[in-house]
Amino acid sequence: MTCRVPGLIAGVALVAACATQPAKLQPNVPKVVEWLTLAPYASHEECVHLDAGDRLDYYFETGTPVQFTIWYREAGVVLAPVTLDRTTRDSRVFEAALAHDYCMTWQAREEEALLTYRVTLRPAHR
Amino acid sequence: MPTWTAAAFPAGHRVYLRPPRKSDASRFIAAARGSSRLHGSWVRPPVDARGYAAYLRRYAARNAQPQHAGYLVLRRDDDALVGVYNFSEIVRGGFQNAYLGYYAFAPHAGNGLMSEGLALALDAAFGILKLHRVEANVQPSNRRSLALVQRVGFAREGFSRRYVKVAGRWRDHVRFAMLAEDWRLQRSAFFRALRLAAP
Repeated sequence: MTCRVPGLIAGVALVAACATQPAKLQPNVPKVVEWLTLAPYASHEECVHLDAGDRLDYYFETGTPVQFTIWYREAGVVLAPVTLDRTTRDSRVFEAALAHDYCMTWQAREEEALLTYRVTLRPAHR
Repeated sequence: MPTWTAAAFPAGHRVYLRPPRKSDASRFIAAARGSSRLHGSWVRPPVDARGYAAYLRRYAARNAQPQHAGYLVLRRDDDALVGVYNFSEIVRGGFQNAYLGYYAFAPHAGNGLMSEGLALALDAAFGILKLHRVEANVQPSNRRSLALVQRVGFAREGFSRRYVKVAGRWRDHVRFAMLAEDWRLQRSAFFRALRLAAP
């Protein structure tokens, strides 16, 4: 989902405003999105349910700096275990400590951004 | 250089690093036992539960200024245990130095995964542990290990006779080092040489 947010809002409040229902990523099947245009201050989300120990294996790059967040809600509070400000590239394996619906959010800054990403859900070994 | 958070581990294209855990014990021990021929007289990784517990006590503890820090190299696709990088005897103050120890596990030696892992380990050394210098000491007969540190760009600094006792014998070592400023300059070129974009 891509949404446009007017004005400058604090990052965590912003991602909360754009929240979507978790979509299904298929386990161990990479989802690839290429050249997605993010207008200035617009954001894009990828949400998924993770059980404890599940991993989100991701890579992304953008032409211009974006804010990138991995976040979830707990008791009405938005918690963001990963926040990168003004980044153009990242490659990580995020491991969920707790079962929640998690969202990855990319938000363009003052310039348009072209977002390419690959994300794979890796279930925990059980 | 990537930063590090408790929950998200920097990844290359094929591998990622994370600290070892208690839950890794059985597969670590199995991998170490299955690699005894590969490891020869060069390294002695833990091969039983007691040894692994000691390894964890030494390398898994994390605080702001750890004295030792260990990282497992895991394959991104399937979490397979590829190898280990350990930074030991971290000295702060005016030195900011650690000694690097490492080994691959048998099925993954020689396929480039440890090279990528070493680049991530150096990112951790200079980005997370804030070291200035990482020293790697390699026995002259360990050709694979010599090739690995040279491929990544460690500078040869010397040769030390009967330097470390390994498997009951004092053994000569060739001494290499990587400085933080060297790595900053070489990092992108190294990833390019692997035909990968720097993560």
